[in-house]
Amino acid sequence: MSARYLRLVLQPVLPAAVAMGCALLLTGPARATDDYTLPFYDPAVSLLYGVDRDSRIGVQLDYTGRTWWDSSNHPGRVYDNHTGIDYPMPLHSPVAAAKDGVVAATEGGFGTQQFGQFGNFVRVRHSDGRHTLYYHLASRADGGIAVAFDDEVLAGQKVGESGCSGLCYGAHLHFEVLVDVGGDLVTSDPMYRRLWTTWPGRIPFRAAYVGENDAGTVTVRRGYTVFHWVEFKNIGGRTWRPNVWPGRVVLGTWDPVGHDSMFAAADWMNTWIATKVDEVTPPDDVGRFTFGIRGAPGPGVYREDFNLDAQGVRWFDHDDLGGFYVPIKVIQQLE
Amino acid sequence: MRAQPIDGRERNARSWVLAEIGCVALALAACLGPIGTPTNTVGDATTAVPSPTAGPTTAPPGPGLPAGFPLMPGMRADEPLPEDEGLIGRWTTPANGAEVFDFLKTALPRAGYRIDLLGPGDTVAVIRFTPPGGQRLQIDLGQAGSGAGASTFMELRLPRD
Repeated sequence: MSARYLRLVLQPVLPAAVAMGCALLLTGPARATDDYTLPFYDPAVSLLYGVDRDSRIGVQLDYTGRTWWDSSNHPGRVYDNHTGIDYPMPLHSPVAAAKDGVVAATEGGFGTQQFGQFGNFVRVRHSDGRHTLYYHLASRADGGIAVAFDDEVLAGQKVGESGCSGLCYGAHLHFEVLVDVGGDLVTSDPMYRRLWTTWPGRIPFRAAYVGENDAGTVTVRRGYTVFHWVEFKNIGGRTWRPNVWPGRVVLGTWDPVGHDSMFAAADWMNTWIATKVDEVTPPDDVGRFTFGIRGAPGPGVYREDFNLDAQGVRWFDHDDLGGFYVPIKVIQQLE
Repeated sequence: MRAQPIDGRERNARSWVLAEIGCVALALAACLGPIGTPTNTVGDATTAVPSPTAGPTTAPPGPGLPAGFPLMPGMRADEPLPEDEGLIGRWTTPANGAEVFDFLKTALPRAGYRIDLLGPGDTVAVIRFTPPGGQRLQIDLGQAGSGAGASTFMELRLPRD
């Protein structure tokens, strides 16, 4: 039996992850709320600097409650008078909305790496009165701004691409949560206030393979259909739903993405979407995907590759997921 | 430990000698064509001419300074150093922080150092690196001043949390 599921080695993370892990041990996990997710998809990205909760120059209060009586920068924690969270990432990394909302402002006229007082950004207004700001983005002409004023966006939806515009010493996302106080937008600290789905925050769409009803080669008689299911654990920050648009989580064909399948059965949603998630699956739950495999082609041994897709929002990270395919053997008659 | 200040006459003499070596090196480089990145052998960074396209200079030897530590052209050594245990050297440049960060990202590996952490922020950055056979060191970048007169400072130090 061939190994159909290949788990990749976890990429090394910055020491910040260790610090956040320590914070988790000290404070305990927050209940999943599905409210806010991390504003990117890359699981290798980690916080480098958080919000300074003390406005005095030379006094820094980080998200763990530690005070630093200096103006030095402290990797993994904070630097003086910082109003957001810095996530280093390569130029043109996708940046995602942290929560459902409406685009309140955009700026894309500065160069992708144009250093200066002002840079490119997207700001989203949310139903809870908060705003989220995504700063230092690439220029609009360079694909840095993916939304327009007044657009409705979903949590996890791409709003732009990272850059290094404005006051920026190297490519990173400056993510900021603002509270509307009488018309003024005031900085808050999402880590201290635990706005994240969990503690620490999760990226929006991630999955881990759990199992299948038949983990070996699926044998199907030519012209017949066998039913198959596969389960994935929702390790992202967004609830998987079968009946929303956009954002419905489905199992689609992969490699190449969205190709017409030779094995599409009558229950498939179309020739490249095998099925949607069977039931609503919140973070930490396991979602099942049930679908038919029809022995349409001639006898032989095949494979079909799949990936999870939050439709209209994004495909899941197939490399992070480890890849999923079904070995299929089509026979003329039952053996 | 700190970098030792260099006497003015010694600095001038060294500059002339090293400038001549630099000219010879540049002439050789011009003859040989663009093979790799030209590395000036000018030992005194305070006399280097700022140029965004010039290759790195090398910091003069000093206590705690790793051999071959690259300096961006135009970097000026700040002396005397402020009282700060663990501070090895401090320099200032009119170049912006993004330019300095990009320079170091390339120049440190070329100098044979292993980069352990690249941490860019808004007006700060930290780079942790390890010279061959040496102990891990940290570079802090930050903004000095504001507006048109703003400059970027670079501190080389022992790592801190």
